[in-house]
Amino acid sequence: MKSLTDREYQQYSRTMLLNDIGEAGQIAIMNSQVAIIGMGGLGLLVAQYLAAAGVKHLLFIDNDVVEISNLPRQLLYTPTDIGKPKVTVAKRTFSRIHSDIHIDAMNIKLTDDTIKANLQLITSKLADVDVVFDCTDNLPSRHVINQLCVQHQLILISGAISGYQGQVFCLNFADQTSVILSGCYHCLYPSHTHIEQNCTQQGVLGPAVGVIASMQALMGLQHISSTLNQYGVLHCFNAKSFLWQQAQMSRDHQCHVCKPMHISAQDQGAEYVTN
Amino acid sequence: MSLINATPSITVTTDLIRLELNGTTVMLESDLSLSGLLVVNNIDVASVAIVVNDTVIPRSGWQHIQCQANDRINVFSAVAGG
Ligand SMILES: [Zn+2]
Repeated sequence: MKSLTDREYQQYSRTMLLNDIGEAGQIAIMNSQVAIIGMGGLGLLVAQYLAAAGVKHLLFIDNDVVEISNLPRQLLYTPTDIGKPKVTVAKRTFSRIHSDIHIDAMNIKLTDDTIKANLQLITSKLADVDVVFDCTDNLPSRHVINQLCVQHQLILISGAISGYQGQVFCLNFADQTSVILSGCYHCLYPSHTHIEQNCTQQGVLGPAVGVIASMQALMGLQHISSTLNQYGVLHCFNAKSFLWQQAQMSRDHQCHVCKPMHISAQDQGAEYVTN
Repeated sequence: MSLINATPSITVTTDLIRLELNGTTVMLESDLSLSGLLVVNNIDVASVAIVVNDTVIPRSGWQHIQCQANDRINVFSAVAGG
């Protein structure tokens, strides 16, 4: 797509009124492809914002079914969807709301084993993806997704929330300088990280999930329209005090996940000097 | 420490430094590492990220990096829910 129809001009006029985005940014959004992994509270909202903003190609990955306890924060699912695969329901619903949208749904949990078993398929599906949104609910999936993004030099926008604590960041694995500076998910939370409590145990308020999902969608649209200024910044949100805190992420020089692909001997030396 | 008569007064003191931990001013022993800071505060080393003066410190460095006076240290629990 190189230009907009009159109707699209009207539809996306508020986005294009932002000077730095403009028509070129909107066209980039409409030509983009995204992968959303985890179609729970975060993933559904990210998908809704992106589809409404004009993203036409979305890949949904999840292997969960809709449960009654999902309904307070996973707003597109209804009681009649209980027991059905989330990706099936989401694909059907999004296709109904947005007539010209292309949704690819994979009913699969990404693990080392399933990736190995479906490597060609997953690689081909991620090949043209502009952004991967990690909206999953467990640490092992997050490590696997991080590794995939590092290997394929993708953009990872990771969001997480449990209780009153939310965290969100965007890492650009296509940019070696950014990787050397900010590292990867594994640099922040190594494999042996212990999650004290998840949403199932600790609970969460739907709108708090919405805050983090909105940030993920916001970062994604800004990246796609080339207006994102911050990569490698960890944003922590306290949903009780409503305070945000930011921190520059750092590469762990011992990290084996983001090292082999990107760190040349020369860069490694430079990194030790700056640390 | 009790001392005998005329010997010079020897007292074992640990220097304390003032820093900010999760927004609260605290006094800590000056030779405390980031790992030690977590231990002193009963925080599971494997369940958090540490930010010192607005920069994330990777876990592999926590044993070797000492808390400095006036540091602003924030400890965030790892969260993975979605
Ligand atoms: Zn890493």
